Amino acid sequence: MFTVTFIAILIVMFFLLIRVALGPTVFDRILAVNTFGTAIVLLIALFGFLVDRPDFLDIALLYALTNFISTIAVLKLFRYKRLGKAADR
Amino acid sequence: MLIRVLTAASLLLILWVLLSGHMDILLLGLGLGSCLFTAWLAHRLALPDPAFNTLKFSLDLPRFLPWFFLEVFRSNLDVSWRILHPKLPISPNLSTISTKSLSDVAKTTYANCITLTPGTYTLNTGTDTIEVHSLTKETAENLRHGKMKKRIAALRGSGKTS
Amino acid sequence: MIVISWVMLLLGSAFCLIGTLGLMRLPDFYSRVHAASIIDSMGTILVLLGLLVQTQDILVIAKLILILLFMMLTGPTAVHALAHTASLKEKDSEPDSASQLS
Repeated sequence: MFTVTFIAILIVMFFLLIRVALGPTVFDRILAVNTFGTAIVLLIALFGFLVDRPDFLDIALLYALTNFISTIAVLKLFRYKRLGKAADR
Repeated sequence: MLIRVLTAASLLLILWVLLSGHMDILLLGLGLGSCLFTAWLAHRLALPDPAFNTLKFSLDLPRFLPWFFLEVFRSNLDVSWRILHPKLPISPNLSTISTKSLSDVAKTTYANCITLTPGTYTLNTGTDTIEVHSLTKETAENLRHGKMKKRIAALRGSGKTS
Repeated sequence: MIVISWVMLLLGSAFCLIGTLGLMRLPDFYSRVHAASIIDSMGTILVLLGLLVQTQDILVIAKLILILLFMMLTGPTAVHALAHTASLKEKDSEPDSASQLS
């Protein structure tokens, strides 16, 4: 049963990559990458259960946090053209 | 102030034990050190609203969450049906909703809950209003009835209303 | 218990697939966010809860609940930041609106 969900999420990731390649605007791409990260977290958690090693959940937890930070960082870079300072007012 | 830091540190220590699962003296000592350091850093970083009562707020959440997850499920079914429909019966629109009577924490909770529900998400936040993008006219209408807003306003301990 | 878990996992994968279909089908960016939010909310909740009822280990349960909590807290924030930046980019002609970071 884990295998079915695993394959479904792999299909989801495939189409998300198509959206990343296709996406007309840059925001479409960022949205698809953000959702791709969610799919990866689910995939890692499922994989841990599939091979019966729940230690993989630690990696999933870290990935969930890194995914959020990377999305915010890319958006900040896109908006202010730099990562260091907040904004020139 | 010291009590706040120590409470935060002990909560973090519980998190540490849950995540690591080891009970050695060495690992617990390392955890205690990093928890105290993190709590001190968080205290330096932010000034929490003294009127916000975390305990009361957390105790009230179990009354709100089941209703909220039911709402999430219902709107998920609605949006899924619209996506699967061959004609795509959507009518995207923007609406502005007043959050005048809510405190800061309640405003944040409200905006997050709106975004978490598929079919609506917050596009812009002002001091007294939030701008919401909704997939259909009906979801915007539902939001304007303010059922969710009333439920969030009923949560106690969310600080003073500005 | 196993049956509940299977139903949840299957429903979760179905919602993920529907969300992906919406991501491909919907016409513009602001509508596609709704489709991505299906995967972020229902797909995540159902798959993680389906895994949750499979195990008795208290540490594994705690970790799954923490993952769910982080996703529920960070997902809306990321989506809001994304949509907000997109809407700012659209009305780029107003220079003062860029400084009101919410």
